[in-house]
Amino acid sequence: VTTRLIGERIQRREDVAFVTGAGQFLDDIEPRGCVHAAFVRSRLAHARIRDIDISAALDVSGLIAIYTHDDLGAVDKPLPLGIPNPGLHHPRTQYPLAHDETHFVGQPIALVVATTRAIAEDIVDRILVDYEPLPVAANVDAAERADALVHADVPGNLAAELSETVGDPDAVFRSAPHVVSRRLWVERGAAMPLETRGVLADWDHVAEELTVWDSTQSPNTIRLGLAGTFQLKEHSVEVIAPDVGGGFGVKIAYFYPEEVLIPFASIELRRPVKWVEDRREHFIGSNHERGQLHEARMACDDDGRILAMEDKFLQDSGAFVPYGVIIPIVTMARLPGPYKVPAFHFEAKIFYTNTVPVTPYRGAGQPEAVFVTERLVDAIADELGLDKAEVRRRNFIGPDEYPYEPGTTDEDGEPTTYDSGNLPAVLEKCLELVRAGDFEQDRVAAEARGMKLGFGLGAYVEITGGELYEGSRVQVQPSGKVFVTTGIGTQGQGHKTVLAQIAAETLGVPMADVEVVTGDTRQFKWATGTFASRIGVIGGNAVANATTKVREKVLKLAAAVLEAAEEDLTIEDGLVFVEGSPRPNISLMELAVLANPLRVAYDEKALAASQFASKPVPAMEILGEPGLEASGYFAPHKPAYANGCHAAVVEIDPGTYEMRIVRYAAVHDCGKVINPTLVEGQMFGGIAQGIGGAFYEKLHYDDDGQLMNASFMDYLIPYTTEVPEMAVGHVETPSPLNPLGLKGAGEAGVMPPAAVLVGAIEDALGVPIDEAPLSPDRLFELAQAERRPG
Amino acid sequence: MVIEGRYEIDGVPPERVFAGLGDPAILARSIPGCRELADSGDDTYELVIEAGVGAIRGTYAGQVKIGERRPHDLYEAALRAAGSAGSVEASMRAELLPRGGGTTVAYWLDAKLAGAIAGVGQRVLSGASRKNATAFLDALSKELVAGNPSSPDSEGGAEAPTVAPPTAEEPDAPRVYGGRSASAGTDTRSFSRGVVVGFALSAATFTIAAVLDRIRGRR
Repeated sequence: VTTRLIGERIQRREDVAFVTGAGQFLDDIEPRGCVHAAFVRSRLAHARIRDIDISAALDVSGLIAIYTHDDLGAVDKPLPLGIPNPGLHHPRTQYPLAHDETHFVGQPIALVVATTRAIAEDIVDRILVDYEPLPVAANVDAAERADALVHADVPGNLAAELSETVGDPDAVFRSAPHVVSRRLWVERGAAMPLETRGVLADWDHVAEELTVWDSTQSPNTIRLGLAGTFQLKEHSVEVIAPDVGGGFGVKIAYFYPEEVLIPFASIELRRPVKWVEDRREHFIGSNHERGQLHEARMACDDDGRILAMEDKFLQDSGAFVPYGVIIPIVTMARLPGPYKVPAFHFEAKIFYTNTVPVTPYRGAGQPEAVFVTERLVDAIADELGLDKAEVRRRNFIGPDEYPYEPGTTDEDGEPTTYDSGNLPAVLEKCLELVRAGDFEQDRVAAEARGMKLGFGLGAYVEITGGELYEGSRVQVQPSGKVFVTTGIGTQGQGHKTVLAQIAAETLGVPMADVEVVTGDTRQFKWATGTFASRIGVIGGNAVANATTKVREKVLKLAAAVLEAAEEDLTIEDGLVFVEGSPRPNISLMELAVLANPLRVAYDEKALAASQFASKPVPAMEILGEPGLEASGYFAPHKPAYANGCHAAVVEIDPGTYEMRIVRYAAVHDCGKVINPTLVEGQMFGGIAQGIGGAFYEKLHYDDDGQLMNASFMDYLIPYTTEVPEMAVGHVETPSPLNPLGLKGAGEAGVMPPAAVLVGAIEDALGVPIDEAPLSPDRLFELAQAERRPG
Repeated sequence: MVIEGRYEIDGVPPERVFAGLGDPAILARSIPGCRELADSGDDTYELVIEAGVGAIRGTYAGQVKIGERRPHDLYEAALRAAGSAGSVEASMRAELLPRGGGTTVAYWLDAKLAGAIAGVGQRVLSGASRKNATAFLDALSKELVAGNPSSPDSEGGAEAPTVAPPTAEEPDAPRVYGGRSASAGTDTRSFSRGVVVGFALSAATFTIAAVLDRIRGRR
């Protein structure tokens, strides 16, 4: 019997290196002769550049080069537009270095290369940019007013418009017995990975080969993009994503300016050039997310059944759209959520503003949708005096109604189809974990202590495992070790653990014998990238497809050696057995040796494979190709939809408005769970980020487009002290869309916390709250405003 | 951002406060972090200030242009300064109102910060700005109460000037007034703590107090 590994709590194999400081992050890599880059970045949100004066910088010892857009040659063209969509009628992307105009604080204007980063920064300080300030649209309100145009040739600052309609929602709203409406604001926030971005490029002028280390989520995309940009052969460019300290979407944008400029400088200077972003640069130079204003309403019948939904929202897209308008597209697709919404109308206006561009951050538009939908469902519960759980039960898609089409459109332009799920089971388990039954009693007890207790609940569906493909090559080496290589990047998720689990179980070898290599295009060249909760699903099934092929080879060869029928063979712990008694066997190690016939016997094992062996095995005749090796791919036909439910009990001190999460529970259905420990890790981390969005994280731009809290001193992210104990559970509804029955788990955690916690606070205080994040002082203001008459 | 405030100077009538505001030597000694204030004529002063918030420190060079002046009750000035950590543009207006034998200074300042200085340390600014807004006026009123001389040549006592006086070989050189080192003097502690509040404030003569009050109100 093969050892079960899929579904087991296997310890992450990545962590020993990380916790002992043995990780190799981008800044740990420094080739001989490496020089360092820093950028002059715009300090105004919108300005004409009258002059760039470098004269004071030229005598600095250690200066190697200064580049402005004039110096970039063929690279001086707008960066590529990701994910075009017909609704995006005025796409704009930036030049790697600004031309005569800058559009946000932080936009790169000049690149400085020097012997050290410190010298490069000193030189940056000596470069004088003469700005002529232009009018600024720093937020969606200003963008909509359009007194200031972010791009002179984009009328009304309107980048894109999207809409979707099903049925006749207007008629339903006119006749429905109950309509609830809310005006909801989801603040702009950012991923804030522990490791900032960084690029190291090393051009070999003799071989004409470019090697780039990039803390990216998509090394292969960067490789192909660089080959195209610099007109190099594809196989002359290699991109390595070393250990990456968190991505969460902010490292996916293809290309950031620096990802082109650092290789450019390396080619120009014929030496390694490194740039590692500092945290202040990250705040103004790496993309943000969220930032939506919704006017939304829902109509329901007397039982609380949803009859129609409408949402008109504005998206602050920042100054450019390098990743298209995927955020509002995903938000819109996710608005019906886990509920049956028979009629709806959704529309979005996407505005340019003079701020950092907005591209996906964990959840990618979905947390916003969950916030809107769940606040409306809570409003229905309020309106009808119904229990929050009961309203949801009445509106959930039933377990027998899959595949279910909510009527929206996915980011690939295809109709959304939820493949499977069991929402009622998820809800009941969540209520149990949060001890919802004890809540009323706890509320009374809290009142006696002078505290207010509130209960919050939120459900969601999560798009996972969609788009394009992933691949893997699996090879049993003569050492007996199994090498699994993929082209994906990994940023701490634990891919090396889960892919090893899948490879070991499907091949029948001990997990310790499996080594997984990720994120290195030298090892495997076919990949899409790590985003949208897709690697477990797509990468996992790709590995399983590869091991299936290797397994077939193993059995064919073993059948010849053991003189048995393939059907009578089983693979266990790296040995192939003939069923029966006795059980003759041969190891995969020996088979790997036999699979590559040799002329030279370099050791005893190899002698067995050499043509002079006493009993030669005609491996080439049997296998048709040398080695126990195969590549496998998986290209999902449709995304797999995960779902889940979170609940919380929150306590508020009515004197100080201090908020405390008393209990938090989360239940997730990601289909077949590969490793519960890792899924829980994803949930814990996601919920922590969600708590950040609910209480702390807000990028504060002033009206001049200056980011006023561009440091961790002022941009607050939750510490472990702000993240409560969580009760987490799993419901497993295998996806019918892939052989392993997997769905993703990467983004779900971050999606409902703001809705759940704001709902709980509203429940505690009886004050309507339409925004996140909520600080105690803001909550105090809202409560005071509510108390005031009128 | 607009900042408004009032400050009482006891025992010094508006006439003398007004004169002090127009006296570059006194200003140079009163403006926190002022390294140098040079009269370039035409009611314009070139100035160099050292300031910093948290890790964002630097030297800023800029220009103060005196605007409308109405003896002895109105004084306007505009400032532009830039340094490695960012830039500031500010306009300032002060009204001097007699109060007993003293003066009430009602000031109004509109300042725009850009760059790192705008993005970092706002919380520090907010906490310290009011205090520092008065630092200048404290220093100014001390100067006025003590009746210190205005000539740059007579400086160099307790507070060592950090900028050399103009050289004799350059007859057209602007008169340069030494400031008070940021690391010396009575305000040492707040400076060394990194709570040098807005260089803009000090530069525009009245502290730039911070955006923060407004921001906080909005949060």
